[in-house]
Amino acid sequence: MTDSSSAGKRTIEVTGTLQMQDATLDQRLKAIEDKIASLKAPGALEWVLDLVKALLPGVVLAVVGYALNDTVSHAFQERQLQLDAIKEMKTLTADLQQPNLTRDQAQAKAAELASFGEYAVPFFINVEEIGNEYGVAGAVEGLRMVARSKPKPVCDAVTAVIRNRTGLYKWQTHSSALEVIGAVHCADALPDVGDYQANLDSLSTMPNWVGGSKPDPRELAKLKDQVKETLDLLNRPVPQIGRH
Amino acid sequence: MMTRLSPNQSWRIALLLSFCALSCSVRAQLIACNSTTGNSAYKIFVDDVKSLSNTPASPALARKMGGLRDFIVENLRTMSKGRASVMPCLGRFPGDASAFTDDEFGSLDNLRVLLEVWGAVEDSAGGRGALGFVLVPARQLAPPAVFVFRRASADFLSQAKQGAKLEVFTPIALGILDYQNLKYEDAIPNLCVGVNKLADVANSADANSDQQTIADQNKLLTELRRIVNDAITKARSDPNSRYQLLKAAPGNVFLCPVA
Repeated sequence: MTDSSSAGKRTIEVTGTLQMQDATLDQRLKAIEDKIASLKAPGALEWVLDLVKALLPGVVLAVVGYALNDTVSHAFQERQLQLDAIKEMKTLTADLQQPNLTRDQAQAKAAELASFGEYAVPFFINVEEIGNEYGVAGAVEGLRMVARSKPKPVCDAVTAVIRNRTGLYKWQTHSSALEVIGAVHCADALPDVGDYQANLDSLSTMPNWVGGSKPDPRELAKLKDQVKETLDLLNRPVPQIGRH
Repeated sequence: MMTRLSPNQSWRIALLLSFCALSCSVRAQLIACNSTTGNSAYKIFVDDVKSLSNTPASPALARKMGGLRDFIVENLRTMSKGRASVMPCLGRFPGDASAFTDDEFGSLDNLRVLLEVWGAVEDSAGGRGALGFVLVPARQLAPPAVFVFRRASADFLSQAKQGAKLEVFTPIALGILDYQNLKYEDAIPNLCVGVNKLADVANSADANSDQQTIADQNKLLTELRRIVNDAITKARSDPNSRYQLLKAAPGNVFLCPVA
């Protein structure tokens, strides 16, 4: 029996890994599973936020692109408008420099030119510089007309005249510019006019600032009077009621 | 709110508009002097000598008017002694003194115009007429500083008859200019020549002369004498001044030295 039983014995080789499972592991796994199970499904707010996060770069790009395109387009249209205005003003500016101009004609042409607003400002400054008796008078009146609706470009242009110290403008143009600054009440020009007055103390200064004929003592006195009058006008209080 | 005008009001407004239209069309329109652009010298403008008549001037009259104008240009060139540029302003014609407003004086002053002269012939024969003088530097001293000398006798276009008046205003303009430029010593001779000549013209005025012109001349004379006194007083502040030898008249006033 023994023999038969030993003869019938087969050796079985069992290969494997004995895993010694810690009892706490199950507990931890269960705890994790419970936590996961207890988690709620994502709410609407989170969902929208996720969507916004995904879409934001695209939207920003679109807005920036639109704004950029609008700015470029606006600048282009502005430039086109300026060129059209220049074309239309060409005849009028020539008329304002006609040799046989009367004062009334000059005023009428200046009024027409002034209807082009800020685009007419450089022409008026130029006519002040090179125009004849009535052309100059018309140009000064034209600047006043533009300033009634668009004071800023006029103030910028005439302030640039009195800031110039390289002889680009005649003393008469300086004087007209000061007159316009006062009449239009270009408040931003106050420091420049103050500086002008402080430095306009003698005939030795002025010839370096202006082109053309240098002012004689009588004309320098006239210019000083104009500076004083302009400062008086600029220092007049402006009512603030209704302004925000 | 619109209100209906009565026939009487409408008639008045129509009359007013007609008057305005008429006066606007009659009012002289000065054109710019075309030879001034870019010229920075002191100037004397010589405008046209023109007929005020509606009928065109005959060739003979036109020739005489041109002759008077040329005479004025030459006379003023001599009188200004090169200190001012005498510029004929073709087509410029004020017609009367009313064209010289404050704005006009301002523009002329900016252009350094000292004097402007024009002539107006009042009849087709060229007998009657007027010479007008605009004394730009005198506007502040004795406004309106526009002097019109009317000649009622039959020789307005006779050049020799106009010489005396032409000689008055150039020295006055130069004298006032020097005085305003604080050149007192230089100003006195011209001012004194002007005072003496203007006094002569004022004294020769007859009953037919325009009273307003005489009053304006006397006002200018008074102002000129005042600035002569002031110029001499200031010139004497220089110890080397030739006016140191001058004695003041009663009232401690300096008068023009006798030549």
